[in-house]
Amino acid sequence: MHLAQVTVVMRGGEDAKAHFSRAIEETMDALYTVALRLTRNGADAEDLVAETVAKAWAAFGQLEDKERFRPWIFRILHNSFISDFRKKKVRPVEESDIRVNTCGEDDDDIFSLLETMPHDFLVWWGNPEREYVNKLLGDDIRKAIASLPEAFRVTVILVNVEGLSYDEAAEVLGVPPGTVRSRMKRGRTLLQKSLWEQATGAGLDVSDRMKEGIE
Amino acid sequence: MTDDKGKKAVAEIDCLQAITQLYEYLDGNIDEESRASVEHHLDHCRDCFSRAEFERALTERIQESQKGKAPKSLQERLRHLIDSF
Ligand SMILES: [Zn+2]
Repeated sequence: MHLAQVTVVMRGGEDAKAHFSRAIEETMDALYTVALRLTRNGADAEDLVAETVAKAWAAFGQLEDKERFRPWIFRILHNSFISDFRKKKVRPVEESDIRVNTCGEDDDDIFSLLETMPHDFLVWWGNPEREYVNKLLGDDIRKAIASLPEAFRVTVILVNVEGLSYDEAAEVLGVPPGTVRSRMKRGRTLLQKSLWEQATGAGLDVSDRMKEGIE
Repeated sequence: MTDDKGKKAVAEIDCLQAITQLYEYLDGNIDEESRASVEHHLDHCRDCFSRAEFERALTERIQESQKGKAPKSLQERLRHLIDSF
């Protein structure tokens, strides 16, 4: 079975390999982005991507619609992470793992920073010319993303960062599209709660930056 | 749904319905009819419009902060790996 598949690929000869190589060049950054959010460690992310590429080449002959390469290889990456990486993880996570207090999956309320403090927050938010604020803001969002439970984190990354449709993300994650829909709502809600906690939490100075932005 | 002039009639929705469908709308994962309803609501409701603009800005910030680039070491590793196939 396995040999036969390899033969199919080899029959394509240079074409299949050239096609595969180009597809990898085009998706490399995206694969690394998703791998990094899953493993939360640069070295692990590189290993995971390399493992994914090896597996993808072995199965490339089975991919009938080459237009579906992106969701297809993301799925291989995600499955590799679940089956291999999560278990044998030896390296520590690099990103700080801030706890989000409320993360019940069923909770359907939609928390919005905008509703919590519309004016101040918008003024703070809409200050892109302040370069240092911008940079810290990136850190704030990175922390907030890192604090999301894995299921929400990977869903938000696939949809918002890599631009997959809900159907494609569902295929990658092996869940129904409705689950992607509810994870997006919940994930974005948790993300805003986490940003809010950072903004109001003791020892973190986001609230000071908000005041500076307003003055 | 069509009205007597043959134009598509847009189903009116309230704020809660608009917000409930907001992410599907912003992420482009919504059917045509619902998309038209949400859009119509956003055109007529300042609060929901602001909320949508805010969510759009947040998505942009997420993209900016999360988009990664494969390090040189990984690029070379993958090219060697593919050469070995
Ligand atoms: Zn409204």
